[in-house]
Amino acid sequence: MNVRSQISMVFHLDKCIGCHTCSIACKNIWTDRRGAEYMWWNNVETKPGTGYPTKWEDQDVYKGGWVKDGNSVSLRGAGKWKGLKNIFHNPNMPVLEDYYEPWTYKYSDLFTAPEGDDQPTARPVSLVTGEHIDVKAGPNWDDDLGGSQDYARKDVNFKELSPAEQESLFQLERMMMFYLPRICNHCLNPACVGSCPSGALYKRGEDGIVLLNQERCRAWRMCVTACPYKKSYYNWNTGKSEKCILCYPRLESGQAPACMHSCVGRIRYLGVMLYDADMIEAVASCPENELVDRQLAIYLDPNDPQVIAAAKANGIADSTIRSAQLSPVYQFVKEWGIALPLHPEYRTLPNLFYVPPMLPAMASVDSDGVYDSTTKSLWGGVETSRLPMKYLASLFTAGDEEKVRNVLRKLLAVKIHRRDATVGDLTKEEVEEALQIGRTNPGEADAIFRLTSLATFNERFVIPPAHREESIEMIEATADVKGETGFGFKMKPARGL
Amino acid sequence: MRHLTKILGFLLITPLVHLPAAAQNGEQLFKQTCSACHQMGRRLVGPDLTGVTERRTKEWIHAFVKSSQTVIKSGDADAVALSTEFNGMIMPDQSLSAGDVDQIIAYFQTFSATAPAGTTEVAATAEVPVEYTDADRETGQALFVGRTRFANRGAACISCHNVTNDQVMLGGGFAKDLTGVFGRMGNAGVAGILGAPPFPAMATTYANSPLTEVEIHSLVAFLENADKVSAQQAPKSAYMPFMVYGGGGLIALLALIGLHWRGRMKKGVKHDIYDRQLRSI
Repeated sequence: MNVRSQISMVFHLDKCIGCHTCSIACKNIWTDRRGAEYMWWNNVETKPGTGYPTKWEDQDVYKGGWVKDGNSVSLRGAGKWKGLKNIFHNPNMPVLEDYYEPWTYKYSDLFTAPEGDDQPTARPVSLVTGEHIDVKAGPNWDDDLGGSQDYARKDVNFKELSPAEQESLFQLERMMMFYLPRICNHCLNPACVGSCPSGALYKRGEDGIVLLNQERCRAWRMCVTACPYKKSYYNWNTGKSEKCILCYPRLESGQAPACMHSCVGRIRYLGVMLYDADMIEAVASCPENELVDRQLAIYLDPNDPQVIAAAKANGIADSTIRSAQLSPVYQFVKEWGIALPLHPEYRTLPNLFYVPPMLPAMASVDSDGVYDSTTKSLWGGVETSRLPMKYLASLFTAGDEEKVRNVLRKLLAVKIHRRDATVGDLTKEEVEEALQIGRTNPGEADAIFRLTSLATFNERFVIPPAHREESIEMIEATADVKGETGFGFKMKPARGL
Repeated sequence: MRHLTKILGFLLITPLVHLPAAAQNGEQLFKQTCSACHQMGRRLVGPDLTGVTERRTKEWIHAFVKSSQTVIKSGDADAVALSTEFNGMIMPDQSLSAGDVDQIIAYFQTFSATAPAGTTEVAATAEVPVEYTDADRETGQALFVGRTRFANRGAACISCHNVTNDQVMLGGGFAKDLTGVFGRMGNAGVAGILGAPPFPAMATTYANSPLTEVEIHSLVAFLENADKVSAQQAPKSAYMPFMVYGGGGLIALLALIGLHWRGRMKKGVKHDIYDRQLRSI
């Protein structure tokens, strides 16, 4: 057992209100620079929709992620030979048009325009060329466009759905959408790291954050191709690629990443997971229908004495192990099993898990064509969800509908249990049946409810101390400067000795 | 003390300037750089230089050595006459310093003043007819095209020169066509150039890998024959092969690239979205 620690995350999609505060917080801190304007290390997508960059999930186009190759995995669009062949021109990359041309407005025109009959306007200008442009696309151009022809209907996850199923989705009464916020998954088996010819990408040993060394990057852009989530971006101004750094300077000082800290819906959770690094290759290369279960099995129980001993032997700090025991991610993913990885079929073993959205049907058209907005029960059943299970399965379980259904049943059971506890208008049989179908019990349902709805800041973000002081002591003899620094004068005082 | 060193230095330098050492250096320089085409008392590729210092001014010699073409183009009567006399053959520009030229001029002066008798002597030995065998021509051809390597590992002539000859493939276009060189310069001229190349590029190429006497002899034999038979040889052109191989190669390469990367992204993923939006406007 080769135990390592990994900072992992859970996003609760039922709580996301699609306000993009996370994206803006991230942009303001990290990507509000020349060359980085089009980068959205954090973005919020409307699903069904094409996402950002457009159709990022279509690996026939972008060739991202890993494919099973015997008992191992190989990169779909990069790697030794494929990379070498395309090293001077990599054809499987999103171009600016697949993202969007970033723009601002020429606000000075509002003040300097000569007097006339019309209101002066601030025309959009490209942030790349500085020329006037006609804005045709943006990073969330399909925001809230649940049933639109151009975006929702071109969702890559509809590939598995028959035309009839797709059509039924876009009936007025069934039309729906939910939000999918995305950041770098800081994968256990990162394709970007595997693809870099310069060795510029690496996974930090102490917390598993995937970083891109700006000094070693040689702009081959293989990581842009390789990352199936398209979360590695090329900065055209600096000639280096960049990606989400999970706000590691904030984490190291005990603060939550900016996107999570600013989240209005409090949908985000962050904590440590302990995992067995020896299993990565076997898990990444297992058959597709086993991927989710095998990945979840790679995370170890932080309360198991054997795991604790192995973690200590590997140099994992006691404080990190304690954080792992308190990790909200461990509860969502392992104990309750209600959070699932996004697109596990890319085989990167992502460390960002999603609690899938419920989207209950609120109305239906009966056989007489009568629009009926009343339902017998409050939420209807999981089966009457407006979102086909197949669609959610394509997002979170590599096509296994049963797994998604089980999660939704449990979430529904929690809702029914809490309705019973707070309002008490349901029969005992109803509640018990729901708990049974949801494979849960009142205790667990209360715990899920608590962490979902009432959790405080410190419960949502259990950040392990980074022990940077120890790292510094490994490199420098800090005692040498004791008493030498810390207080000084800008101007030497005239008095004194 | 400082004065003493100055005086000593002066005493040391003075004899060097005044003794005929300049002429001696000049002779050496002349042999290295000029003798391929010029000899004293005898007309070779270029004119006999005996008494040149009496015919021309020092400035004229300086200018002509530096760049003969400039002098000819400036319309200097003597220079134009020389150019016409020698069928427009170009004397290459020499990268000699003004001091070097002065030393060579000093050599000219001593020569014309002291050895009118030597002229006849050299002239008498000049016209020794040279016999070339078929074997010489064979060896020469092998050396010319590079089939046989030069003893001192110099570059094969064909890398830069072309000779119109059915036996030899198309040569390089970097330097002069050598088909008729024998007719223009004669064996002494060609042999002289091969022994001590006066052209800057050629001099640099063979500076550390000079040709041997035997090799020069063979090459001259080959060139003599090439000149003689040149009328019956079909001239070759680089144009068609370049068009065929170059153009055909390019098309083949593009086809290969197109085939290999046929699965590449040919248009943006938003293409159909934009397309529909534009149509609906």
